[in-house]
Amino acid sequence: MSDGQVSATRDREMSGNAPGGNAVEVTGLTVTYGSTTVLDQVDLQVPTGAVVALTGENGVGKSTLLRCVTGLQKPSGGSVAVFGAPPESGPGFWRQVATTVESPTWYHGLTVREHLDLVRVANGEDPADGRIDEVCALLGIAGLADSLPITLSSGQRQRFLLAATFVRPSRLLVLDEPEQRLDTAAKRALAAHLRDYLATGGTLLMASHDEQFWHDVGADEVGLHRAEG
Amino acid sequence: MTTTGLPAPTPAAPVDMRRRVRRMRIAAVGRVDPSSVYCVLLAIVMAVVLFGRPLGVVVWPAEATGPSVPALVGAALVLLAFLGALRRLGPVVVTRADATWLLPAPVPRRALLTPALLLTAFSATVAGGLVGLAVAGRVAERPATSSVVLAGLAGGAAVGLLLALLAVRAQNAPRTGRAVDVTAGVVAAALVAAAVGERLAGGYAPPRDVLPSASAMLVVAVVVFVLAVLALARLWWQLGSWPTHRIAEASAAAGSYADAAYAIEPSFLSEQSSRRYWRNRTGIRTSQLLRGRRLPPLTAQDLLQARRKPGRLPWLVGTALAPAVVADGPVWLLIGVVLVGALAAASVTSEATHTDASNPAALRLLGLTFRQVYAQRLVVPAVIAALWGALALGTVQATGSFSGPWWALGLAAGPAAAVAALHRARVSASSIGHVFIDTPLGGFPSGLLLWLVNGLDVLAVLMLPAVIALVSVPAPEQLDGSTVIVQAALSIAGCLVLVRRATARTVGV
Repeated sequence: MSDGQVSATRDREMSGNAPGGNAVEVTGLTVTYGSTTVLDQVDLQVPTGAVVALTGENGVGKSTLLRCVTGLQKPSGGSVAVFGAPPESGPGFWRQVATTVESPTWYHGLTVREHLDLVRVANGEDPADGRIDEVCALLGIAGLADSLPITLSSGQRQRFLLAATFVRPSRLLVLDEPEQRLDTAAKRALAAHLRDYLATGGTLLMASHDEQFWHDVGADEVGLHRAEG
Repeated sequence: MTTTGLPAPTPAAPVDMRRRVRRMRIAAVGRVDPSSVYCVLLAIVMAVVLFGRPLGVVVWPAEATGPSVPALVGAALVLLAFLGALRRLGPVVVTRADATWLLPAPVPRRALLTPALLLTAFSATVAGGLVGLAVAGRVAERPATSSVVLAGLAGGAAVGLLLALLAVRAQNAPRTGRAVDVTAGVVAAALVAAAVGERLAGGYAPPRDVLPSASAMLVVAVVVFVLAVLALARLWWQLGSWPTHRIAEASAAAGSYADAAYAIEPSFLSEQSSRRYWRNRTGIRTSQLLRGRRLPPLTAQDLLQARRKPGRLPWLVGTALAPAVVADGPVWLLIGVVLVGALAAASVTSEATHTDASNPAALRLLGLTFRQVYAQRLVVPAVIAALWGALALGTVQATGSFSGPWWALGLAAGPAAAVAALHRARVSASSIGHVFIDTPLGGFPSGLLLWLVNGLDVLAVLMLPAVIALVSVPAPEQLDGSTVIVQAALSIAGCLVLVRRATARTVGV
């Protein structure tokens, strides 16, 4: 290496164009921080209904790429399209895309369950339809319903963030290392839940360091690495 | 890391440790800069020159007016504010560096904490003594005897020291601490209510002979002071067994206050204070309010937030009675108290807006537009501020100072205060003022000044009819209904402008 450049490669080509088109289409994406180029001319396509895991060592730009896809970061060059349109901050975009790329500052004084109720109600869903209970049981936080988020451990907060992301409706999930700080059983349960999400037509783009985990989810690997020379 | 079976080494004395740290610091950055010493001394001299005379008049006026309820209530409120400051600052804390390196080390804890305890006791004695002197200065006939002056000083110092003892005890016992905080709030509200009651009753001047003789008070004060010193010595002895986490937590809080003062970023303080409150808040059960979907979700959230901070109610009631106390004073003071009080009342639920402003990730999760967010978040503060305004101006009306439907004017001004509070909660000092003001002593960020008036400027405009009505109070005619209608219209216009100007987009980059 290491001239600060990276390139994206696909270990396994996805077959042709999916019937629903591409959920995510990244073309010639370049991101620089000062004089350091983090992403250089990266191309990526994620067909609707597919699951892609971005892999690579720390600092190759996985989270940066996810931030660009969710519109939370403006790229220095290139283009990003999500469901055929550039990511933007309109409610239409956020009704389709749910992400854990950034961790929210939770509201002081609301319990874990009230946060999940709030997310569900604000997104026009019924908070009493059993969905929240199902997700909490899956992630092992059912016993934390009355806790305030400020009192949770880092692992519990990760589960809580995932729960808040899963209880809202979405067509595309963008997850940054969803397996981090989870124990083995929770990782297995999470992988099963993500497979269910894909089975119902959802699309998943994630960054991961856990090969077993993204294999369990059934993801195609896209390895990001710093370009040689 | 290795473990040994050797006996534990003798702990190093903290004095030696501090000396060693000081030597290392001098080696790294040199001794204290003489220009810094000059600046500090100059600042002290300037403060004495500027504020010495007015403060002297406050503590010891030329003429004694005799015992009066407002003076005694004022003295008690100053002492309660001092107790509140001690509770927020610790008061038994160590510097952040000492908390990191010396607190977990095998150094005697009592010696480590002695400077903080002595500083607390000293400041409490001085503050209490000054308050006692100010009370004596208003009660004692002129020329005052030395026993009166000494009785005032000793009595105030004894009360100050007792409050310091209470604060130190409360620091090591969270349940006692919460009880102390709630009691202080209730007592403060009761004192203000008493002052208002005195005004409603047409004024009451306690007879001079209601107080015991100066010599008797002096004896009692000295005895109490000595007992307080003995109790302090006992507390000092117990410091050795204080748990580490109590000191570490208080030191971290005091450190963050120092950070906020150094960076001149006051909004950081409210965030820290809020985090501390909710971390220690127990007994919360998930409410059905959100699940019921009878209210818009963010309005329901604000309601829950307000309900879960019951300690604010006495303060709200207390501040609502304050305009009645100052109604006979200068009109600018009355206007200031009304504007600041209304803004404070409307800010009861502003934590969530502040959270969203600093990190809008939660709002993105909710998928709501700015317009929906502001429309929903205006409701609860508008209602609280309207009730506050009605109580505040209604009480002034009841005391007979003003005539006309002032309570309705306060009610109509509530939504205006909510708009201003929401506007204020969205910004921090560093986000609104990047310009440095040059002073002879160096650059000063404009953010703090702008932050102090932020929201009040909006409120002053939106409450213009109420402000004009307050300014023209000396005129004999009474407040008419048209002022109330104009105020209500302006309040509604403010809400509409805030909501309409917000974009129909969710929060993005």
